[in-house]
Amino acid sequence: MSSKPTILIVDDEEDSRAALQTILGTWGYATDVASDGREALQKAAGLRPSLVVTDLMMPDMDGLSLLTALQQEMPRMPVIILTGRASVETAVGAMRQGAYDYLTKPVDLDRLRLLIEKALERGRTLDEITILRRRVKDVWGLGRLIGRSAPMQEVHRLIEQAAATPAPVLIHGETGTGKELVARTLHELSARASGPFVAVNCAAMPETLLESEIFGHERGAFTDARDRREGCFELAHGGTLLLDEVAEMQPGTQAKFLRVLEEGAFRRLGGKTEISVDVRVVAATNKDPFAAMKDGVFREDLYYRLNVFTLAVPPLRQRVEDIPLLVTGFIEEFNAKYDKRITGVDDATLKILMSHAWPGNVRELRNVVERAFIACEGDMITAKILPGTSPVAPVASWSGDSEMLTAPIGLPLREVEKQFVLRTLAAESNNKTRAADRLGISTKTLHNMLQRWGLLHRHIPRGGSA
Amino acid sequence: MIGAMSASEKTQDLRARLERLEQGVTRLADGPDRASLVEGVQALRETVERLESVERAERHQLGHDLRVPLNAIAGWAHILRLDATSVDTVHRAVEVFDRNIRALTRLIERYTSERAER
Repeated sequence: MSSKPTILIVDDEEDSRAALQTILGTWGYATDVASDGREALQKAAGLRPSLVVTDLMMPDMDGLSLLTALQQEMPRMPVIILTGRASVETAVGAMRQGAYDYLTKPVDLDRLRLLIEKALERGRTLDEITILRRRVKDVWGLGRLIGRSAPMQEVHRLIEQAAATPAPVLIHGETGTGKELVARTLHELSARASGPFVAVNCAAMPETLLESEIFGHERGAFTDARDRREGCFELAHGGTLLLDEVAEMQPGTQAKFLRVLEEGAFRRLGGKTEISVDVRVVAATNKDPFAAMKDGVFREDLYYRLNVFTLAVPPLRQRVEDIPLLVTGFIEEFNAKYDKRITGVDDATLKILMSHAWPGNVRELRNVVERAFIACEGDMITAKILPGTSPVAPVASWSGDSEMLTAPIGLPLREVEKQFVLRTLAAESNNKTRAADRLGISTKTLHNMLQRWGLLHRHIPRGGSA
Repeated sequence: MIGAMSASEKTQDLRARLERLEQGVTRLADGPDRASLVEGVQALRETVERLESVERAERHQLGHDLRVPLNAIAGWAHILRLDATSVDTVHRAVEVFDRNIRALTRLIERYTSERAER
């Protein structure tokens, strides 16, 4: 395979095309040619060139149409436009549409050579940025979602999987685990990243206000509706809408919400016109969604509509090994925010932080670190200035291939049950019949348990937590 | 005087006359003929703008028609400067020069005859 950058030359004038191909060859580039936009598109799809140099005026599909099509298929590939029309309007039009640069015929070859080198350099820089982003992800986690533990790697995997689809996503996890950050990351990795991300907390307001917030209202729809107002669905058009604490929504609002999910259309409160929107819906809850559905809090049809992709965000106690990384990340953030130069926490402090139960999860850890950071007068946070993180480490521990699960006194029974069931399932290579047999329960009971935890179709890794 | 002018100079002259006319109409006191004068000047302005637009398009087209063969000639001249030892390259370059010089000659002939007709 050639390591030379490949340049695709597009020109309907055979003499110019052949000259440019010969010249670019002498400059050390691999080349291919096309005589119009359509042929260029076909060749670019297979060739994946590093750069396209195209004439502007061509029959059938001109240079600007080719540029637009290429930007959709290969948005990072630079395109240089050559033209016989030396008008400013055309140049501005081409640059506005995203051309890398624009040259007038007869082409100044020294300038073209320089432009090609710069464009390819830019392409290489963009590639390096992508690689660096991946490395940062390896070291820190996905985007701002810090964590390298097995449960977080599973969350990252599911986010990347869900981001590639337009399907609704249901995120559940305890308070403070970072459900909104998961939703935001999902949005940023999706094709809708350039669109808006709108979040609304369904638990924070009464029903009428929530409906007005989500669907908007017309003037006079209710007493205080003095003006027409767009709701979150309209504001999120082309992007992602996060409905946080979705299980807190009243049944009537849930029914309206379900209709938007199914039909992609709704009416503002007091409105007669159907409004169509293109929105990816992400719902989040701190309740066990299956249990909420069984209790009648969460509509069954809405649960199944949202349950296309379920993402369980693990509590911090199940990913204690991420605490050092999280603490480092918070300290970097606070150094920038408070303009200080604190280098980290000492070993004793880290040990305390890693043995705390963190019922408030990452949010609680962040608050504790921030308070200690503000109180810190040296360059290192010590245990003396750590606010009350006193008791306990009620975390079930699992050591590698061992068949032993150790749980401290005080660990909630439901957590013991969950950890015990999942470890048995992992030990039986995810074979549910064998796991149920070993646990002395029916396969149906195991099935129900996994469904309740949102882990029915999840592979439980050996040695890691779900 | 107008007979000796180029098409571009004629349009420029028309534009200058139009502007003088517009200033004159602005200074006119209100009277029964003012409205029809304003209308007439407006129609004249539209004609001048159409002429200017046609002239601009013709200029761009001429630029394009000149630049395309020049581009091929310049490209092949560059190739010959790099390596004039290959007989195939020299033959190819000569063909390109020949073809594009003929295209340029036809273009100049057409342009000069169109100018003479105006």
